[in-house]
Parts: sequence; structure tokens; C-alpha cells
Amino acid sequence: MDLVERVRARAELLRGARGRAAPTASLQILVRAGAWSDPSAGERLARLCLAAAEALGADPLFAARRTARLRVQAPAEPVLWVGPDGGRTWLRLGRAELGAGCQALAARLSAGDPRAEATAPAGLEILDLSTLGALEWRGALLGGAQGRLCLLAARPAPSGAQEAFGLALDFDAAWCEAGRAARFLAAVATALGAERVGCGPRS
Amino acid sequence: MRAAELIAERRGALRDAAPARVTPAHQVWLEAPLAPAQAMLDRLHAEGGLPPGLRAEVRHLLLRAAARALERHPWFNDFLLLSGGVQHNELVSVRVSLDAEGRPGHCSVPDPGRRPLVEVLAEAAAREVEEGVEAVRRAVKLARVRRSRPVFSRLVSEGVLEPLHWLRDRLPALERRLRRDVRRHGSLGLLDVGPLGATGVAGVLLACHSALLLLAAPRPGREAGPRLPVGLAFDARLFEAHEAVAFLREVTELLAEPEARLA
Repeated sequence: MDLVERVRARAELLRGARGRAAPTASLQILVRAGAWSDPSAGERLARLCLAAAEALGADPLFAARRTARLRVQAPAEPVLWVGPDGGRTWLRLGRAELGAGCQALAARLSAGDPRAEATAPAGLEILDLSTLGALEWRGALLGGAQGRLCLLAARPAPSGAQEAFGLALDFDAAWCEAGRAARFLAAVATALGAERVGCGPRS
Repeated sequence: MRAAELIAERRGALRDAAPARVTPAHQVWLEAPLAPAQAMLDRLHAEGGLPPGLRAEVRHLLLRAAARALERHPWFNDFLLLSGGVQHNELVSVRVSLDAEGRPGHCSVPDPGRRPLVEVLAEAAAREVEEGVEAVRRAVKLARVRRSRPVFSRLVSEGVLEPLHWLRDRLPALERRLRRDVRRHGSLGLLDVGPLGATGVAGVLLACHSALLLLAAPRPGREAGPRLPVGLAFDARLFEAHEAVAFLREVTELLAEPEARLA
């Protein structure tokens, strides 16, 4: 797509209902890989998806979607929107895909699938920026989303030699307090079998 | 300055400058090695390439890197207009945010990608000094103008002036002026909080930027020597995360090899 087309497409998109952002706060932790450590980035992301789905079982708020200022719609089943490779393509993962197992999920994530813009169902967004080398992330939630989990690149842990990955969670501060977000992140880390080594990029 | 005066002045500034809605901004950070950029600047200073009294900093080199990266990612020079349209900017000109005695300001360095490096560095350093002084002068003048505001408020309350009509009539002119300003100055901004000792910055984009390069104080890195955190705050409606990271990677890679790629 050339630049003129791209600018025109963006302008068209902005005329839609995508512009209004939720009051977003972000929380970031470092997790030492542990049992999660795997040479394949696809498998690592797949395991993160499964861990997030497990954590959503305990707290489904982050997969909900705000439909009005005082109304949030929870999904009937855990739904994830996964953006491998920095969100160039997006993939919808429902109960069937999540139940297929780690290897099948990793293969599916590697294959990619363009996100359908027309549909905006509830779901937690999982954005993988680890392969691109991003070290810190802070996002704004658009379209009524309540949560976005972002996998960041590995960096040396403050207290050890083994590298630790960053996990950032963007959450709607109008509906969720920081403690709840921290508990959700802790649940994801526990489900991954990873050890938390700090909060924030330089603790 | 008394607290009441300061608050009144800030309120006036916010009324003038704040956008109608907060821009939904994403922010992503990478790190670049500091040593190569610092070594290049030290060499330029030792050779006497810059006019006496001017000191080029890494942020001035970042202007060059940003301009070079814009050649491959030109959409970060786009600008979102009040009407919802997108203005593409052909000219590359990076704005540097200034803190002049606590008063915000900016200076623009035109075409930092193609001109000789020493010229760009010298102009950036000189403009920062000049515009810093000018920002203070403008702020004092603005404070004087604001003292006449009660008169206008009284005229509005008496029905002599109608502020909404005033705004409606002037909005197209404001947008025209903004468009012209963007064409002249470019829309990519640079904010360096390193000299203040900050290791990061979080917040929203300024009204005049679609993307803002962020520079923080160096941190100890895994290799020898400190690493320079370089961030990008960008309008989430205009750009995707992978585009922002690709742009930022280009900038950090250019900063890692300044002699080969920025000279």
C-alpha cells in the first residue's frame, strides 16, 4: 500500500468509532522464564495465551468489553485476541482453539490470520512485542476493551544472571483498581510457572 | 510569582492549548548503546567542528537519526487534523521541546536528515538557546494579555460577544493555520527528560504531535557502558504497535553506528 492510500485508509478508520480511549493505566512486571523458557517464540506466546486464559477463569473482567459508560459486557467463554509479531495480524482464540493444546496453538499463531475489523467481540488482547525487542510498553485501550497483555523482550533480571521477560498489562482504571490488575498479572505468571523478579523495568 | 497568579496563568494556558479530547497514546521503549554516539560528539568537539560556546548533545544527534528513520517510515510525519482527516507532511523538520525556566516551548530544526551533520548539530544547539529565551519572553507577554480577560468575560455575560459564534467562525482559520504550521515545522516531536535525571516519562501526546520521540537518562546496561532509553509515544489511532517498534528500532540502530550512518 503506498503512502497516499495508507493515509486515506487511516482517515477512513478514524471516522469510525475507534477514537475514544478508556482511562487506561498500565502495570509492568518482570518474570524469569523458568519452566516457561523455550527456544521457540511461537510456543512461548502459545503458553502465555493458555496461562492468560487460565487467569481469566479466576477474573474474567479483563476479557470484558465496555458497551456504555456504566455497562460492561462479559464474554460467555474466555476469548483472546492475539497479535503475534507486534500485532501485524490478529487471531481470535476461543475455547476450541485454546483446548487444542500448546503445539497446535503455536502452529496456528505462526501461520497468522488477518483480524476482521468489522467484528469487535469481547476479549483480552495479547500483543507480542518480544520478538521486536521492545523493553517497555504503555498502551491506551480503545473500543471498550478492558485489558491488554503485552509480552516484552527479555532483559537481565536485577537479581540474577538469567534473563527475564517483561509482562505489561493495560487496564481500564475506571473499572479495575491496580491491586486487581497486579493479582491478574501474578495469576498469569503462576500459570506460566514463571518466577516474578520485580515490578517495572528497573526494580 | 504567587500561587494564585501561577494557577490563573496555568488555567489560561490549558484553555488555549489543551485538545478537545485526550489523544489515545501508546508508548514503547527500546535502548541504544550510548558510547558510540558520545564518542562521535566528543570527536566533533575535539576537532572544533562546532562554533565556540555551543555544546552538541546526544538529543541533537537523535534529530538526525529520526530524520533518517523518517525516510523509511514517512507516516510518522503525518498529522491528525481537528476535522479527523490526516495531513501528510513532505518536509522533515523535528521539533525539540524546551523547558525554559519552567515554561514550555519548542524549537524546530528543518531538514535534519540531508544537511551536513555539523550544521544540523550547531543549529539545533543554537536554536535551543535562542528559543528558550524567546519562550520566556512570550510567556511574559501572554500573562500580560490575560490580565485583560475579565473585560471580555463581562462583554460575553452582557451578550455583546457570543463566544460560540466566535469559535465557529474561526475554527476553519485555526485549522488552516495549523496545517500551514505542520507543513513548515513537521509533526514529529522530541522530548528529552534525561537532563532532569528522569529515567522515563509517561503521559499523553501534546496537541501538535502525532508521535513524540522520548529520551531518558542513561541506565546501566548488560554490556560495558550505559544504555540510552529511547521511547516513542504515538497516536494509537494513526499507528500500529509494530510500526512504532520498527521506527524506533531504526532510530536505535542508527544511533548505534553514528559514524557510518549519521555522518
